[in-house]
Amino acid sequence: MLISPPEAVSSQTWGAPIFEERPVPAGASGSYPVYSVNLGTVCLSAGGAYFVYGIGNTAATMTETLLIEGRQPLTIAEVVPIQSHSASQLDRTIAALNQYRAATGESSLNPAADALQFLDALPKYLPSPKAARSDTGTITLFWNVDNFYADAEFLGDSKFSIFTRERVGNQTRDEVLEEEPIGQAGGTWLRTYLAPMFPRTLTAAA
Amino acid sequence: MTECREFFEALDGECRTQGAAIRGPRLRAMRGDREQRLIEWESQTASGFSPGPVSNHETIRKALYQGKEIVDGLLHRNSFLPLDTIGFSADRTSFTTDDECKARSAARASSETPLYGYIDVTVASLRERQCQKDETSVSERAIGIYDTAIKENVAHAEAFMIVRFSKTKPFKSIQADLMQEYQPRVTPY
Repeated sequence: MLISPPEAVSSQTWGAPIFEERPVPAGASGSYPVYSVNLGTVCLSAGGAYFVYGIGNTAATMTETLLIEGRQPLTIAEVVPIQSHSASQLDRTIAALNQYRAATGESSLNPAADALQFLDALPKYLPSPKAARSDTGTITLFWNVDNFYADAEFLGDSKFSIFTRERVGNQTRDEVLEEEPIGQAGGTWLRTYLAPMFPRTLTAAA
Repeated sequence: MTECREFFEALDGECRTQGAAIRGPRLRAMRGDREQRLIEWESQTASGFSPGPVSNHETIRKALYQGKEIVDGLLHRNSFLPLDTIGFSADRTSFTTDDECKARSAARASSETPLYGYIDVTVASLRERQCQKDETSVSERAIGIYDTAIKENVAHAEAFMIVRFSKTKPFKSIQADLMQEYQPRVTPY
């Protein structure tokens, strides 16, 4: 059952959240404050139900963070059946990048802000990439489509680097584009490096 | 005390006093200074808590966190970025148990980066990676693995790039090779 998000956890930053009400599991009782509003966080409520925050996750990797009084939080990714309500890949990537950007704060180096600008400049006919952040703060947007892998890397210096790998049989062909200004995100490099992901009609026209 | 152990113990001390952010720059500087000796270091012990240097027939278990090393069940090239930055931390499976590994990994999870699963990486497969700076250069060993045990985890090991030109295409291709090779071996918890 979809319900309105509790007021305390609504946030403009994360886009349109999807909440699903679920029964509190055995052993989780008492009154729980909202823990945090992050991707996949489960917010336990005082009213005998808890809320799965759905944006930014696919069903296969939804997280449940169960806060049980007097115990350490247990955080394990597990499958939850909300795929039908989950947001698009683009929404999930934007949500993840917004989260990373917020976590970085007002630092002058904000790789997530660069990645969002890059994403915005990409043609909408390209598949949406997935987003990841390393321990050192590097943001990676990546695609894995059939026999083609590509990623864009952001260190927060207003530049991006591209790596692509095409697989044909047992052979691979790698290409690298280093340190392009973020202002060039929608530029001519796209056709050179990401052509295998272009719609066939566009490829044929070229 | 061996040169290897001296380096890693000093590094641990620096991380404690100056924060973990110092780790990446120190490892990078060490690569530049001591490139030739890093292969020798693999046969020395890196820690007083270690059960001994990491041998080629061992397997190390790398934890995967959603949103970091893995997204929706997919590895990406930068899943292997720590090889170039802060070190690729893993557990030597011969010196720990599945349950201990999982408990240690779960303790480092957060609501933003929950524990997803792991990959078991064969030490020989990392040590056999070769890197060629350009077409005219000789191939060199690219990755070293060290027995960086700590008091709380004697099974701890660490792999990192031992060549200087790690930010270039040859290194990125090694990352992509590892991604491709280990994707089918991702084991969810």
